[in-house]
Amino acid sequence: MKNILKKAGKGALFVLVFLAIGALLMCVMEFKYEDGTLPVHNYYSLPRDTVDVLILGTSHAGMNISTKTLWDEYGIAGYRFWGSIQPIWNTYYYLLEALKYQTPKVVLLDAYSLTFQQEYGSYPVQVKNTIAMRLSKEKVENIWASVPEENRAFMLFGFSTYHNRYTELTQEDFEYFPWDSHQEVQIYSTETSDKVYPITVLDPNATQGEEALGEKEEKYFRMLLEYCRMNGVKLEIVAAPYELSAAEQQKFRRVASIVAEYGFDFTNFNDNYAEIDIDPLQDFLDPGHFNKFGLPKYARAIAELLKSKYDLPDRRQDPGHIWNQTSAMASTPAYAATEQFQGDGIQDYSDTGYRLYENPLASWTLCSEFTLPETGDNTRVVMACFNDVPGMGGFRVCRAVNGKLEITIGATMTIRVADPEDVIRLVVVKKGKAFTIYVNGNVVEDVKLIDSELNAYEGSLLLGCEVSAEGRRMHFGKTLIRDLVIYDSALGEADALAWEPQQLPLAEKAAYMKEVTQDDLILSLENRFVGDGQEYVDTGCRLFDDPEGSFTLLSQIEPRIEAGDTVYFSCFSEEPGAYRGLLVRKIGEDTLNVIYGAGTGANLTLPKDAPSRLAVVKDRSAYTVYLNGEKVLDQNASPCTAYNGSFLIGAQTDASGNIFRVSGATVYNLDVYRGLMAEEQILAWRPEPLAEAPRDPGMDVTYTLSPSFVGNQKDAYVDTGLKLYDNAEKDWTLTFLLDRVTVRRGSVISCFDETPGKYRGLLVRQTSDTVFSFVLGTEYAEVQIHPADQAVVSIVKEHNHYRVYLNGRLEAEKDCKIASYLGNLYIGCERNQYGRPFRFSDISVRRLEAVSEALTDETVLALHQAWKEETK
Amino acid sequence: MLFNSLSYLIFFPAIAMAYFLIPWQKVRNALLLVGSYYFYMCWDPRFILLMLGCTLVTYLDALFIDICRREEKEGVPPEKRRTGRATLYTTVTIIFTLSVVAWFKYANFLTESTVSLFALVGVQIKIPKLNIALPVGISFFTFQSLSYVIDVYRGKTKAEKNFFRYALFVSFFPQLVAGPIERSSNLLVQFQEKHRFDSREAAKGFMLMTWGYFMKVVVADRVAMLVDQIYNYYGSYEGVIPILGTVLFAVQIYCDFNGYTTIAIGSAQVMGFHLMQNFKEPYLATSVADFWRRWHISLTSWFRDYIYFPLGGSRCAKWKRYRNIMIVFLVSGLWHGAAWTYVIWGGLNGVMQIVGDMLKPVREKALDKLGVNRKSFGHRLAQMLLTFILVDIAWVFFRATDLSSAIHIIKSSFVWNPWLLVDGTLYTLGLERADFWLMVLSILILLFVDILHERGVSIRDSLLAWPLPLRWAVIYGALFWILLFGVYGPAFDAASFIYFQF
Repeated sequence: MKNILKKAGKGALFVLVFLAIGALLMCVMEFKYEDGTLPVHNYYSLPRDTVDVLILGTSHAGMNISTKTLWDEYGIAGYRFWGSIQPIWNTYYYLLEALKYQTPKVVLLDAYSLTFQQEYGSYPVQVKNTIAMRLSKEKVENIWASVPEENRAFMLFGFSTYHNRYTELTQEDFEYFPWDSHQEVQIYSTETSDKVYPITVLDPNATQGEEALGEKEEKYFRMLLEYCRMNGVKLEIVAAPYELSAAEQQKFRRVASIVAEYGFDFTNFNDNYAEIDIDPLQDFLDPGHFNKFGLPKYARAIAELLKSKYDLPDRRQDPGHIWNQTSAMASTPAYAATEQFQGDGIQDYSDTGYRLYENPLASWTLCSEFTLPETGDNTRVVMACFNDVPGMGGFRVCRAVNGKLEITIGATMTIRVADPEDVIRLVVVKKGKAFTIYVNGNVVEDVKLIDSELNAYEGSLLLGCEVSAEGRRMHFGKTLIRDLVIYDSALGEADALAWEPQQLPLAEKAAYMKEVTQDDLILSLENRFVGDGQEYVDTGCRLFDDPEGSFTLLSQIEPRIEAGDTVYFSCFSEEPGAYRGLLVRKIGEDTLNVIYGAGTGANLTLPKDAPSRLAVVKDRSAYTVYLNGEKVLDQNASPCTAYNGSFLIGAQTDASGNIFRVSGATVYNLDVYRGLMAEEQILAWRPEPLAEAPRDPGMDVTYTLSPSFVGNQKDAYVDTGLKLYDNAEKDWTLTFLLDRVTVRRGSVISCFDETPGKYRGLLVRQTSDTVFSFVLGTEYAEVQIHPADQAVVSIVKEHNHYRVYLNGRLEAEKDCKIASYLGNLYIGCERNQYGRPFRFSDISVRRLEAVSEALTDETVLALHQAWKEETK
Repeated sequence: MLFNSLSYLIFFPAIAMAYFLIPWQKVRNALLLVGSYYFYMCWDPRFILLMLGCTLVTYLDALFIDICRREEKEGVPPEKRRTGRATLYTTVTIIFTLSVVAWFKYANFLTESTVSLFALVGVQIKIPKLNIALPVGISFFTFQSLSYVIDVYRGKTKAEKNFFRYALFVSFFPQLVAGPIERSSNLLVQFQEKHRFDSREAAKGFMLMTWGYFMKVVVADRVAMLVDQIYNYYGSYEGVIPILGTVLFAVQIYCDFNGYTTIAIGSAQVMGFHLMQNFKEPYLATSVADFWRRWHISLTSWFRDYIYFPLGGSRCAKWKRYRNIMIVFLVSGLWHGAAWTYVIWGGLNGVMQIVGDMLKPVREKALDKLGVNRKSFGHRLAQMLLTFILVDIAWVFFRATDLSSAIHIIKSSFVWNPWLLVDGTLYTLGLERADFWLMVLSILILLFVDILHERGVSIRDSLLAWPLPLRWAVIYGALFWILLFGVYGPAFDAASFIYFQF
């Protein structure tokens, strides 16, 4: 027997421990909806007999009747015991449940649910309006009335409905253990949106007669009325204004008839818009609910109605009443400024180090007095503890572009104060999820946020600016914060309003973007860079070896590209899939293409004719670009990984690190500074264009062929050693005399780069027995000649201008600027891209002379005449 | 009443407690019989008559056979014996029982197949579809009663005189609707014994039930969401996704079916009954034949004893052996479902076994030449993987709704897109990230436990040897794991056990 008892005891203990763990788990997992569940859950925590007005019904009761206004203006302790789209049978059982714990002086029922006609609500409605009740006969009956048979057992064993919430748990879910008190007295409005939705008001006389209620609705409504009548419960039935239909209007008439049968009163406020001062065009945020303008009006109407009929005491006079609770002021602030902060709106900021949102549910009070920044073309921040990642948010005080004072307290909740005074005394009281905001002694907002609005944030409170998601300080505000105190508790209204700022000394500046000096200069172009498609500058400066680093690049560029590719400068990896760095180039007619960060690109319009000043400011992964003194881009790019390539001017590297896209661009100036240059300094940067570096004049090209050359189309050629294009700008004249005994074809002379894509130089070929072709730089010209004639040809190059003479006559003129080319002048062949002679000719060059000057027309003609004479 | 329903969680403890509180064995059996019939009637009360009819016919037939056997013993002259009639009546009983199964399960399949056959030769005929509801577990209780009749006929077991006890044998609720298909030699005799409450046995049974629930509601039903997505929209997926779906279906059907029988065995064990093992780590099998020695053992042994052996088994010419294997597997396929996909699934398993047998000499030779140590872990692992792949290919036909979709799934699996495994696609297949990794973790736990079982470790015995706080901690952990992460409740569509339909 002893053994049996021992085993039974063990079994019972096993079950008890199981139930205990299960109960705690249920506390965590259970639904915590603001409607339906939490109003019931929190109701159980209220001291007995403290609720004077019990408000029942759907969201028309829960969201439309401001218990805050009832309390603030009338001292009425009202409690909204409601659920969204709550059917009347749920309301009936909610009433029975509520009356077990409180003895309200009056029960206020919104009749909206009586316009429904349904057997069961939707599954979420069933859950919300049954599950939070304590296990009791009323709960079982409520479930039986609300839930189809197949789900009743599950709903009774509530865990099966919410056990799968494990992916959506938040900190709040762990604050509902039995030892956690939740005496929420609902003196905060659940919805204070300033959104406006104009509704259409139905003429009270638009319809006649009554419409029958749904069978189940009427049955439970009558049960509710009967219960109240039998138990002496004072019941007031109302219908809040909303965009009702004709059928609903008729149903409300039926409600009035039924209510009259039981001796209660029904007030349909849809017939009394004017009396209660509700503006259908301004006071609604959707077709069924009031916005912040309509809420207090309707609450006042309700309060007047109730006050006129029932003896409702002003509980504000009772300091012991739970509604009267206030937090005692903390004796020592958690943070107190020791000096004033003065921001310049450009770079100054101060980091308080205080993390307001480390625990998003923590309570605190922030008191401050400050001057508002002037309205600007961007948001000007006074202070912020704000996570810039979309949907996260936090706390931020700023002046908006439209001049309004903006106070953000959650992910999206922003309070705007139009025409604010210059000096603001701000007190923000945060009590868990509830905020009360005082501006210059007036309450501008009193709101309780929903869970998703409040997110944890590790950043601290900054004065004078906010920080971007990538950690960049931005939106600097020119403000004077005279005092700032933060308490780690929620102050009561009296304490909040009694706060006075201290006289503090001015703080020293802690500039973020600062005046850079020559010490910060890490790269500077000494001479104007003029690209020729061949030359580029490898600065050796690795701008992206630390992707977290910051720099300011200032440059003045020529919009016209003379030759070659179009890269101005680059420090850019072309590695497929890992583009990163900075690349500035021209694409199209007047488009400057800037690629930055991890391959983010932007196209800017480049003025066509004048040099442009370009500034690129890199702050970690944020980039700001100024073009000709105008901020044209301010963007957080995707963070990139390190790139060890160096900064090139006039070229870039391909994926393998080889130089390509060597440019013909001109860069007049280029300075790169470490750190972030203040905007004013950027705008003030207007340098004179640097001078070009003195060019190598190139070799002298004076030359005379001797002896004559006769090609054999195999291997005969002459390498004159002359470099016609070692300085592509230099002048020369080349004259040669060809014997034309037979028809010959092939290259006559060449000083030509055959590298694909870079064809340039001088190339003279005979393409048929009557045609000479000329490539002059990159321009092409053809000259006709009689087959039997001798040919004296002169090519005069004067800077970038070519003249071609044949037998004493000017045959062609071309302008062409090319990049320099270091190849020699060959006679009787060309030189391929690898430097080897090819395309041998059988041409016969009797004479050839070159001079290092551009001969005049007359001189050339005289020369031709003389050579012809001599040949005869 | 599903095992994973609240009703069963109330029904079972109530029955078990009442069972042990009643001191008289006959009343206990009566309680179990009433409870079992109530359990069955929870699905459809009408079909209780069907079960009762089958029970009555097989009970009477066994009694009649018993009389004949007695005549033999009593020396009744052969011309006056009724043995010949016993054979006749046994045959009639078998035909009757199989006809019942055929009517309820295969009538529509036969008519549809006939229509299709005629359509193939260009003849259009119309046979109206019969509106027949499939009684739950019909394949199980009929096969169980058939095995009893045949065993009595073969003289392997004695006929049960007590109708109620026999009725309880046929309807014993833990194994009534999805097995294991018990033999009278194991289960029937246990109803004659008195079971005292044994806390150790009850604890072991409870732990077994917990494990069964884990397999069903945590693994099988979670995996099902992903498998259903892939198979229901097979046209949208290719490459690794259908492969993943098929691999996971192998996990799903194992956990679903084994989950059920484990709960069944555990429930019976709590009350002191021992049901036969139905699964023995099938995916650790090293050949297809080995797989079938480990999968649904009660059914496989039924087919072996009552079809394969009577056909000659393996002690005959090779071609006959292969024929016997094919017959058994085709029948097995048909037993699993009235559709050609099941027949193909069965046939494929048969073919794999035959081909495996035919290639065995070549395989052995190749392994000898390569010097592969057959006892090495690597070799065993390769065998297991190959077996799993083969079995899994066959599962495609089992899961697919029709032949063309099965072929489409196999074809589409040959697209090269392994990046879908890492680019987030996996979280778009019906399970969110957390649920997906919960599934992976659960499968790893399953694999770990199966490996321990394969190595002969009894987890339950080991647990019972642990100190009480530790033991309870593990059990609580398991229970709350199931309660939290199980797929049940109105938010989910509670998935029925797959094997109920067979």
